Amino acid sequence: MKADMSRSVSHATPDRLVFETMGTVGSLVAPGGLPANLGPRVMSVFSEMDERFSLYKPQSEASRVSRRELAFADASPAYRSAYWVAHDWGTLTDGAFHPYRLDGTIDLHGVVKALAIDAAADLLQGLPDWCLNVGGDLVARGHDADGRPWVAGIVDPDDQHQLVSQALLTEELPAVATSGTALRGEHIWRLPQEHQFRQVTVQARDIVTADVLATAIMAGGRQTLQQMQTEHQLEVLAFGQTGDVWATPAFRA
Amino acid sequence: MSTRSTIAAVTAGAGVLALGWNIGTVNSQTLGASQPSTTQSTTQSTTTQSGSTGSGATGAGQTGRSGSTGQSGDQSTTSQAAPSSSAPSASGQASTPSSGLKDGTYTGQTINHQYGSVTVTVTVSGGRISGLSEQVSSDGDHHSIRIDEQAVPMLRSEVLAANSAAVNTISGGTYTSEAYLQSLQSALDQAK
Repeated sequence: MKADMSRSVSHATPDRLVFETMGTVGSLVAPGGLPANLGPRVMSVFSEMDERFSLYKPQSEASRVSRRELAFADASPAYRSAYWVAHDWGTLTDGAFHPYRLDGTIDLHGVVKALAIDAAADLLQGLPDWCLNVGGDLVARGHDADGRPWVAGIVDPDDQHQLVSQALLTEELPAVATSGTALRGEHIWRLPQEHQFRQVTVQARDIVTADVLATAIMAGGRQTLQQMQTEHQLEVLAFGQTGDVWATPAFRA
Repeated sequence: MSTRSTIAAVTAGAGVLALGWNIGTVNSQTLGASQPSTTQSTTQSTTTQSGSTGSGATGAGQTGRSGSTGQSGDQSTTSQAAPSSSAPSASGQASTPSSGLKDGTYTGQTINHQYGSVTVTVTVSGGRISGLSEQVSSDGDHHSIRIDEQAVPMLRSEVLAANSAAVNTISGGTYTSEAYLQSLQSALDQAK
């Protein structure tokens, strides 16, 4: 299977599944082995979400809503549910996170991947040990093959081939997401650049929280960082524009 | 990272009485506490934040686990106004010294505040408070930020370094499928 690596990302071994989805790559590791059919079911969760929400697919439900071909009220419960998750996070973050594009159309990409990871995590509940990482958003349970807690390396904002720090995943905070300059250009920036963070890593109780807050703190800067800390159990590692770094205790040497 | 030292500082000495608490019943006698004069004043908030579930609303029909972590973060604010010194003293007790406190050991109500909860026990001897101890507990579910848990600015050199040998998985800004092939994650995925 590795002979195909030059052409294809996807491959599977007894304890690791790597698959393309949502324009990025997912890695599912299960030290005890992946039960039959679990891998395909996990991939189905992502492909179904992608089919429904991808704005790169002209016939996805999200695209049709975006073009006003489909009224929001006529959209599927799954679509509307995702919208309300994103909408409510907009409220909780004081608008630092918002599911809209500049032209006012709904843009749910900020929650879709995390919602899919969440749904996949539900499928994995029967496994004692697993780690699911999709495009840098990850959640894990149990221990790795060496019996140790899962450790997530955090990419250096100055060098994507280096690690700047790491997050020790715990039962309390099993999810990590990192928001970086890959934020879409259509994002509405509220702060002048010197007040923005370059990269924000959030470790939280679930992946939707981690992903949304990483985005919100990127957009909202220090004020959002402080506010979100008082309202959610988090560990945060945030890099400013001028060499400054903000870190909660878990990320301090 | 222990909150106990923080609690101890907060509740040290007679400062705890500024929180306001009732002396509990002892031998079926309910006593009010008169506030002894204190030279130490502490300022701490006794209001706690009611916890919000971490991931907020999940919307109707959401089957994911976000939001189902369901911690009940409610911390009731049980601080009370300092008991009036005119509170009735218990019946049947011998005449007490001016403070109105009968000798004995009294356990106050457990007070929840932003650092956790504290229960104070006071010993009264000769009508005066002769000893004080506190029992603190950190509520594991209580996720209001503690002072020492806040994100603080620091130098990059002070950030916890990664142990490459221990890292299982990589978190960085989302990469495309093409970029994945050069990524650290792909190196891990191809190992072994």
